[in-house]
Amino acid sequence: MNEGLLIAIIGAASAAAFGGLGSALGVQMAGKAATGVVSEKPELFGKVLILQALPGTQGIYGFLIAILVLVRLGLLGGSALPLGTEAGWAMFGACVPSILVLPVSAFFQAKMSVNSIMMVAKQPDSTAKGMTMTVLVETYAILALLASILMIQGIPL
Amino acid sequence: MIVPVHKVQIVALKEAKDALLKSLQRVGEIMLITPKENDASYIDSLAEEQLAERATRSLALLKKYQEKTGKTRIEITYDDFIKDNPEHEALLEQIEDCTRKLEESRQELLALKEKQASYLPWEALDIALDQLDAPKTAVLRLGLIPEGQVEHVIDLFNNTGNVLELLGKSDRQQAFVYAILKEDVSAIESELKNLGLTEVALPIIAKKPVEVLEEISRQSASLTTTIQESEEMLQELAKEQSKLKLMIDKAMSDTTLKQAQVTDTQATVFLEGWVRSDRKDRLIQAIEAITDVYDLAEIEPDLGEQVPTVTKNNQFVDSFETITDMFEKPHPDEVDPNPVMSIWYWLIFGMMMGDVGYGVVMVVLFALMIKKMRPKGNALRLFRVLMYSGVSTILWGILFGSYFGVSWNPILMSPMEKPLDMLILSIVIGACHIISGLLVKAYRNFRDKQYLAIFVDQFSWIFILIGVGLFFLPWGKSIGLWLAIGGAGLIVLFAGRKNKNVLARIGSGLYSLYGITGYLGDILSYARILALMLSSSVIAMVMNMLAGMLQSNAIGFILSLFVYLIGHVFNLAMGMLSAYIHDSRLQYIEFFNKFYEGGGIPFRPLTLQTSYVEMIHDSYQEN
Repeated sequence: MNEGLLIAIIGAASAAAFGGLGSALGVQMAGKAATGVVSEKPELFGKVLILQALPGTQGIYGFLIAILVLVRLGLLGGSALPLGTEAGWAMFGACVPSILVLPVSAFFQAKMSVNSIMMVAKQPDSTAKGMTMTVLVETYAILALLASILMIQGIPL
Repeated sequence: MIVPVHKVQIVALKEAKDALLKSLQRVGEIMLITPKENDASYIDSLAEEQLAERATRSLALLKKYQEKTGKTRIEITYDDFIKDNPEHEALLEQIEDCTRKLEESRQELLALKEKQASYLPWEALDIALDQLDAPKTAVLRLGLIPEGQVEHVIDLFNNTGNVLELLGKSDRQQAFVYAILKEDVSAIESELKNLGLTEVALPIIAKKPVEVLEEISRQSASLTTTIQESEEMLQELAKEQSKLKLMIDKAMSDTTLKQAQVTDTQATVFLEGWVRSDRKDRLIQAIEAITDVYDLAEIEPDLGEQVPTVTKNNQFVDSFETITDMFEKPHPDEVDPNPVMSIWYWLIFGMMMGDVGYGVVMVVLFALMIKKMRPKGNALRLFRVLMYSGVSTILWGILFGSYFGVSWNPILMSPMEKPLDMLILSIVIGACHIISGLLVKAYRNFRDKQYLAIFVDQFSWIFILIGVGLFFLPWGKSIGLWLAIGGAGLIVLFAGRKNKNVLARIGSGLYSLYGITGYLGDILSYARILALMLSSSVIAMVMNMLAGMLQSNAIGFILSLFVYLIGHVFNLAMGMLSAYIHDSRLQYIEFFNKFYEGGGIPFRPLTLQTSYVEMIHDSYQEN
């Protein structure tokens, strides 16, 4: 295996790892708030579950980046392309927006989730509002994801 | 569309009051207004509320004992429903007795178990407990000692010439009975305490421990039978739970009826309320069924009084109203956003999922759930939204050539291979979505005869959006450019038309043009369609690949079926959740802020509360 491939894989792995870490932390934070609410008001389970799941998407995005890199490198169901060191670094660079933004956005989205869950506990009718405000945080994860996707697809190998 | 709601006043004779209210509740067409000069008449609906609460609690307790969880509604005629049925209350009391007995027996059994545990170590003690006091020259006592210290204790007793006998064990402690000569007591006991002795005092009774234990096991056997009997009884009673459900609905309906706010005068009853303008005849019909002596007058709402919002749409659009209502209900004066919103929601949901297989599963799953569970209200609407969106998912899936994550003959493109094209498609869809929002606002302005505003506030932006779009097409460069400049010009010249001063007007117009950054952000936000679509198709692809890797032999093949199943179910669930949330967000934030006011209050008529029953053969009921 050459150096370029190694660097690119480290990038892909980091995107999946950091996205997953952020989401695991985030879903756990929101989940703690949700269990508190459900213990008092079991009928709100469905509503708070949705809010709890919100910070979980970043992990999926990280995973998506990792797979796209692997596909691009021909590591999934094909033979690996020979990759120069520079191209490897370029692939790593393409992963950087996701590596940095996904965990941070998952963490802060989780904080919003917790607050929205508290709001829903008091006003079950405002679930959609809480959901919308929480999803706003995810916008930047999506932009980072898009930047990564476009770069991964666009880098000449 | 939004149905106008009228305010009406009804006056009738007092003797007709109860029957009239019942009839109004049955038809469910009037939303009563709380009288302003309410003489704080105390409403006593406590009995009904308590009954509903008791029945609900019993129903929850019975849940454990029912055999199959059928969710079908109980079909009943109105007359049967409204009749007081003493049998039902008897049933409720029977269930309550039974559960009380069960609970008590369980508590007693628990207490017995504890008692048993405290006697068990002394089972081998062969004297009655009151005999422990009998010896004159020695003391006879019971004690527990930690297991590790047993040998030391035995030594102690042997050395001093006193006696002990080891009995049973309890929780790493050795139980023993010991006899000490009176003169040695203080010395030996202090020694024993150092070794960790716990003295035990059992009740002084004329029975041996073994006899007490026998008695306990007899008692607990009889308690166990009682528990078993009660449980069997509850299982039997659980078969009658439909009666409980009826009772809950009846009690809830009675509660709302009691709480209906009306004003009484000496000879008449007076009530005010909202009624849908297209259903007034049904209201009149309901009154005339009771009395001929009445007066119904339509009046203007008070200044600043909020009129409830009623929307009437076909079944497709009606389902999607639940999405809008979760955000805010439309204001009664504005254009109903639902017809336009429903189509976009449907289209974008399908794009986000974009897989024929998943679409088929959604359609079948939610059609079955609607058929089996017979949900009502918002649950039914949500299920329908997901069912309809399944169809759109199938259509997009064919265009993208995606079948459970397997790529086959894409008609339009395969987003995995050409994400850039997919991004452009997402953004074009977004621009069209936003333009349609501006058009709704333009229609509202047209209705309100604000013709200049149509051009300046809506068409100008539409020109810019279309112009920028054309600019990127090979043949549309110059048309696009001029269209965008024209739109921008309209905004700069007219957006600040409220200002008298020309400079202030241009300044304000320029500031309005700065709103283009908002439009840019809104349109870029539609890139999430690509992100969600890609993430669900990549995960589907990975699941297929994982399953494929296992299929080298027979066992692997079976395992691979599990991987397919679990993987795709997980992906479908996550995909639906994401699509539901992000599609809603696109409507609420990007679409609605172009025209939507919201802030309507729901129309909640006085009606029968039917969570479990369904009225049949009732000409008054519909839906």
